[in-house]
Amino acid sequence: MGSKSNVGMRVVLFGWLCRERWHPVGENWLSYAHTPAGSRRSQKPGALDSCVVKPYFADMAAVATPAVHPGIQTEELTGSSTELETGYLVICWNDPINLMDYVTHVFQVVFGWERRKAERHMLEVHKLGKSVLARESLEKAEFYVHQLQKYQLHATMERE
Amino acid sequence: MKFIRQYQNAFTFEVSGREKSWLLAILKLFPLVPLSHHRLSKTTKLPDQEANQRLLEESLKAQRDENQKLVLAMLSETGRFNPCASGFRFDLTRLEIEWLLQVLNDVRLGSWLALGSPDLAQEDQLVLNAKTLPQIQRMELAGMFEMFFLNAVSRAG
Repeated sequence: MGSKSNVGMRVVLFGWLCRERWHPVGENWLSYAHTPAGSRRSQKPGALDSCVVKPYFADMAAVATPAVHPGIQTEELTGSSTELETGYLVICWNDPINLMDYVTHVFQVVFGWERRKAERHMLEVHKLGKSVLARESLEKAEFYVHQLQKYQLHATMERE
Repeated sequence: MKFIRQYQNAFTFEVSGREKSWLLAILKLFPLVPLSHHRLSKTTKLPDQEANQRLLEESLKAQRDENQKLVLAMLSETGRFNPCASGFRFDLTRLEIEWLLQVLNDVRLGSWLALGSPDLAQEDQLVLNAKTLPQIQRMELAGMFEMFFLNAVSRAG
């Protein structure tokens, strides 16, 4: 971290460098790209020997495309903060009447799960008394509860 | 009762005369579970809970009415059960099996509720007498048919 005067010094030095070292060659400021040996810039001595100086701001104005980072997506969340934060758990409770195969089948149909996953949740219901099947928004949780109750499963939604 | 084959979306079953009459008798009992049995939430106070509960019951009622229509149509449909050497053969689509499962489980659950929701793992909770016998029969028969259809669906993949 630098002090205020330090920053000022850097700005002055930077300005001088631009003016004295690169501006006189008739170009604004720098965007460097490697050029083949023997080009005008590559013959000048110094640290930037292998670079060519191109007008930077001119390029900026012409190529004003936003940077795209593959694999990174941004999603705009809308709604009140309470709605966004609150999740509802869809829970299936154990009862002694629904058959294990039947419960597995219903999970497969309602959630589109593979048999193995449906069985794991069914066994959770059977052994632990309940299983959290999904965490959803209010509307989606209601939908799932309705679907499960259509098959007469003991399902409810609870605020997380 | 046998699962004969699956061809495209049609599942073919074979039942004896007695099994057929049991199946139809069970279907005629639908619906048995009171709409108020299902609750939207067990513990939490949800936003607009009463209105949402009412909506849930209305939705379940609509679904039940639809299932009842399908049951009545199935019961009155001529040519659904075709006589064969060892009883009757009938076809069901995958969708029909789904609503049949819902109907059968309604009868199973409703009979269990009528028995006072006993814990079936505790033998002493299920008292067998003249009053409880019909409920137990319905419950077990509905469960048997459920398992039969589930096995067929599972075998067909």
